[in-house]
Amino acid sequence: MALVRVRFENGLEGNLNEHVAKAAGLEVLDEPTTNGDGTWRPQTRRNSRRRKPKTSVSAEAAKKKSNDGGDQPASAEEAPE
Amino acid sequence: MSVLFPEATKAQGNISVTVVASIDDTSAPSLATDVNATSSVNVSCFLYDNGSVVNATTNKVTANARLCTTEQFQQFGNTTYEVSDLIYVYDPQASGSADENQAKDLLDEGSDVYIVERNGLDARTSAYAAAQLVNIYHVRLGKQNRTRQGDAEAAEFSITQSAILLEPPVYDVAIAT
Repeated sequence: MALVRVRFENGLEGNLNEHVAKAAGLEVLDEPTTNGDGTWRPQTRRNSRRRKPKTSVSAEAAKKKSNDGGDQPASAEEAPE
Repeated sequence: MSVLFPEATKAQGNISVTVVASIDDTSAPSLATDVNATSSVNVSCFLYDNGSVVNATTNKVTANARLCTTEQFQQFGNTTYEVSDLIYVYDPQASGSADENQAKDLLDEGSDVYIVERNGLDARTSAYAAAQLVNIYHVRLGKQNRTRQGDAEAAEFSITQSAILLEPPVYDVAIAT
């Protein structure tokens, strides 16, 4: 049986076998399973937005801090009195 | 200093593999909505033993020599991930929705699935639970080749399927509630 596009329990959308989708009671979407060039469509978030890698706020802040050279004020005018 | 002699963990019967259709966050797979989702299938008793799921091979290249150097050392190059073929049982005469063909159905060509591998606990009696450590492989599935496993009188009908890794494997992550 063919693949269908479904919305999974965690909210993501992806391709799944039709039998499995029916048995699991998943919502079948009226969307294609392949891209225009014939390749299989990857899993996406709702409304076909691509999944983004999870980022950690603290890790990103630390990276920005190291790139900026720390929290030191850039000029004497910005320094606290 | 005392010499440690750590206990080895028996592998036979203690490898559980579940195919999960979708995982929102591979760093904290949810027990309820990912691992135990209604579309997930525990394929531990479908799969034949074909070694480890993924083999990572990193090239070793020789660093360029400088005018002043008389020794050359190696560097690490690209890493290639290779997923072992999935070989599993199926019933050639059963309908698609039969229990015997659950693995065949879920592992349909073109699906992107997550292979969740739990090692070190009894595959048949120990249920997945929060805080257990698992390895996660996000793969895209290839063609399902109808094959036979074993020789002559031991031969069984099976499916041999290739898969490719879509992102680096995630090792030793704890299952979230």
